[in-house]
Amino acid sequence: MKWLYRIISACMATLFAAPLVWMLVVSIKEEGMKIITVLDWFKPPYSLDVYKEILTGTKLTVWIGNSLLVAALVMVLTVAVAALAGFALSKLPFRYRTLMFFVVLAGLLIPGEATIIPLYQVAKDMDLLNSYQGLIIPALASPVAVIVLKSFFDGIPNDLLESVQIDGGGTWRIFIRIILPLTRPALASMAILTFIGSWNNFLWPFLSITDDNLFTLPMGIPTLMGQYSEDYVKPMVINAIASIPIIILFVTFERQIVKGISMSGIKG
Amino acid sequence: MKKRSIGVTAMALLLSFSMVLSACGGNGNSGSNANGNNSAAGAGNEEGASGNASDSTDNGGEKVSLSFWTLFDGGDGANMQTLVDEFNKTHSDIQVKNTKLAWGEYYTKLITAVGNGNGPDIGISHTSRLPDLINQGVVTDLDTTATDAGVDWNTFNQNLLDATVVDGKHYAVPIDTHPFIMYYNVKLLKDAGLLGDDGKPVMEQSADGFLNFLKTLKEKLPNKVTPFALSNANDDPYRLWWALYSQLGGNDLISDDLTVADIDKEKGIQAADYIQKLFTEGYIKKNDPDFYKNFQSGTAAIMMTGVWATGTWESTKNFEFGAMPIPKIYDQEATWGDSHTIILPTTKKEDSAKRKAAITFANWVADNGQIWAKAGHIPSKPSVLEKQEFKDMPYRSDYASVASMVKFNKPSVKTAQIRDNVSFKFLNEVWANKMTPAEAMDKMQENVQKTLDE
Amino acid sequence: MKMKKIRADIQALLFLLPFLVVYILFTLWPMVKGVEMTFYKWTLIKKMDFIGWDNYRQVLQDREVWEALWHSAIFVVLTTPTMIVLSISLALIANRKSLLQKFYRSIFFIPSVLSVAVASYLGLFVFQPYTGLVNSILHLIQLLPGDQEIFWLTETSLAWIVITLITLWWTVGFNFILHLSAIQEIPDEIYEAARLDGANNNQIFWRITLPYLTPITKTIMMLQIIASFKVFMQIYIITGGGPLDQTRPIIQLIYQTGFRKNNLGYAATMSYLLFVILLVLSALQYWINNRKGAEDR
Repeated sequence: MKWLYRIISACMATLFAAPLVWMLVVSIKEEGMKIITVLDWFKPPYSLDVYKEILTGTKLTVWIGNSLLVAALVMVLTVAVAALAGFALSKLPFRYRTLMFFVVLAGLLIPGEATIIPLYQVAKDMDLLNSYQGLIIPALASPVAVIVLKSFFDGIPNDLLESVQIDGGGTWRIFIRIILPLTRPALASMAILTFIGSWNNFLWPFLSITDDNLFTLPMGIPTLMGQYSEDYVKPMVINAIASIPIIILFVTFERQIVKGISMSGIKG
Repeated sequence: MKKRSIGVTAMALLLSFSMVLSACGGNGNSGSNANGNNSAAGAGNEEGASGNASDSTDNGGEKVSLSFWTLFDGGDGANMQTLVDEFNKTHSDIQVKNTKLAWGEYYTKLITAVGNGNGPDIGISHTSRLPDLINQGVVTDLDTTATDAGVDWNTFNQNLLDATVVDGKHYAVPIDTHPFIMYYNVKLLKDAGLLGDDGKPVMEQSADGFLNFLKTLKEKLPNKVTPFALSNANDDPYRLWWALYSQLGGNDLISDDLTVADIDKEKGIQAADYIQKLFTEGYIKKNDPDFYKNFQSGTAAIMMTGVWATGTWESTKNFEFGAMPIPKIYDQEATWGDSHTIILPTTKKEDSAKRKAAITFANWVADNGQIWAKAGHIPSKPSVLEKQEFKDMPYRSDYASVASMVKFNKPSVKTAQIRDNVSFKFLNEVWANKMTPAEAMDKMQENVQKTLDE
Repeated sequence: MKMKKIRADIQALLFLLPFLVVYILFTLWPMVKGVEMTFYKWTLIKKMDFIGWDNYRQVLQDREVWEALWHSAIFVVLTTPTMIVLSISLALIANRKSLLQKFYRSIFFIPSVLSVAVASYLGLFVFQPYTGLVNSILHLIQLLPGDQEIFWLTETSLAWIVITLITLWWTVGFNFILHLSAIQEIPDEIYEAARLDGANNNQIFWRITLPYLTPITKTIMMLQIIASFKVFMQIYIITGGGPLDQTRPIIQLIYQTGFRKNNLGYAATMSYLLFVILLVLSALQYWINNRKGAEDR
């Protein structure tokens, strides 16, 4: 029983790792090798020439940079914007609060894909196409983030806030000094999910960007994969270069990321 | 006290918010400048004007900077870059910047970008795409500018030129013809005893002749050699079908007035049936993703594709190949082909200096067709064919005559849509042996009409 | 008193402002703008003629639209249950205490951080005939005779399998982490008590672990269904919608109509159809969940 378990586990891990291992192995092979059986993939000669060629001869690194930059900015700004709004909805008394809450809630039902065509027209009218602003700003209003964060803020007892107010602290101070530190795990969780969402966003950049200096990875990579499939080495090098930074990022922050995802599950 | 702090913090917040945004905006601009490749994003800033003064010519004018979008892959891409570099070197007052876009998305991107005012100064268009682009207002007519720049339209191959003229106006500068031709591996043909003393394949130019040729290849050559390397889907088999359909006397899929689907069903079936047999009888390797590479590495005896492959084969080490027109399988000589042209897309504001520079570039590219011919294309100016540099290049003269055999598409705005969404779709099914040629022709007739009506 | 109230309103508004500005401009306004677009012939370049209800009439009888919606639905049906089974299985594997525990967790999650383009192209190469990883391994272990090939992408059913496998590999990571953390939150005492009562592993899984996972599984299912309905990129790269458009999902059709066929107005109309369908799906799920929830209690 125990052994069966172990064998199944090992098989699953192999299945999951195989494409990645294959990618790395093929990527360091010399171009133009004859491949007769699968074992040939793993035989020398190895070479890093194609890595050099792709890194210097294409804009792949620019696109990785764009993807990381856009994802990072979207992450920071989305969480900031959502935290502010969530705080107002949770802790600030004002008229029409319930109405406002439902307006935000309604946003959950509007899938981005359904509004993408008019969004294109709107962005065009505002001259936002083909710019970093155009990649970032439309992505910042996340009703999900507002609602999730609001529910976390709701969990902070009001007594705590009042004690600060008695000490003479303003609303801004409450937000910065109490609310944000107390909900740091939730904020981190939101940030991580937003980052990954932006990292994988394809449709919007695909439609709105025509300048290859502004491409993000998902749209840049297809431009490098030629019209006809050729040798496997180049595509694999492209895949490898595009993956290594994000995998390193993941391994570095694995604990936080795993925690962040689990957090979102508890509230969701 | 409280009131003030709220006001201040809120202000600070908004400020910091807008700062972040403008910061990333600034980043955007500097980013694209630093990379030196102004295309759409740079359209707004006058990059060229800041060019170093030492570069400007005696006319004292500012250096004109032009963005140029291309769709060329592989050998084509490298050759176009050579042309651009060479042009920039010899024209100190003009700077052309080449941006390569993905082949499959090129036209969508071009139309989109021009539509939102981010289009390039110069672009490439296939002749077959031109009617659609003109119809959508993506390209501008060139007559005034061409006269300004002293372009002599009489120097072009008139057939090619005619396809770029609509309502008496020139819309594009043709730079080549690229017909569908046949390549063969010299060594493999020799092994199979199919190479004549003149170094040309021994083949009877008929339907049976070509089949026999393939049959001999299959029997005489080792098992792992494919007689005929051809893609199993989309472009190349469609081009072969188009060629055979035209050889039978078929005249495009639409009527002359461009409004009605008009497939000559019998001829369409006959052509499709012939090609389907090549697949089912094993002359073409099934669903081979590596058909280019297989021919290149000597595991396929013949190959059919556009002339642009010539440059690729030439740069392959130890590879002895030949090029020839595709066999005359039916009555008339005909093949598929298209032509690359240079266009001046519609821009936000018309800059006559830029336009003049752009057409100078286009005309120069056509004049220097011998460089472009390195990729394999047939130059668009008859005078280039007479240049010694062109004559010295092997292979090209073997197929330069094919240019006159090309059966072009009729100038419909729907040509590309019909090809991509109808012909490819149903013919692919025929090649995969999942649809009979007759069924496919019926479906095509129906869907071509649907496309025309949309 | 009134002043104070107004001040409170203004203060709240300031906090809400950044969100509202973006939300109104890029979510609510496009919704409205989109309605306008559906009544026009509208190209990438400009607004053309007013055509009334034509787009709506057309979309209801357009076979391509309904087929594409059907393909998106097929994708949902193929990926959702398999996703949940796989996710729970992987969570069970990674939950077992062993030297490799952390390794398993990482390896199951890493594909999820890959860019969608990388995951799709990698998958495409893995399933390539002749030289792809899967076919060459099948040849090596002689499951597939040397002179035969499986053409994964030319048969509709095989193409769906490939799309499903690649999607599972690429996206199971998130759900796996959710399931894993849910399993780890089951208190040890409950297991111990069950063991004392003489329950075997099987019984423990079906009677304890699985019931504990039900709430999170429900959530995953809800999110999964809506998200899967919006699939586009991996299919676009892997099959391009083929063969014969038999795997083309609705988002791809919207893209092709809007940008390839240059008909934004009609594409917007399709988007609203999709919107209505998603709305109905959400409402249905909400209703089912609430009813079930009531019964549980």
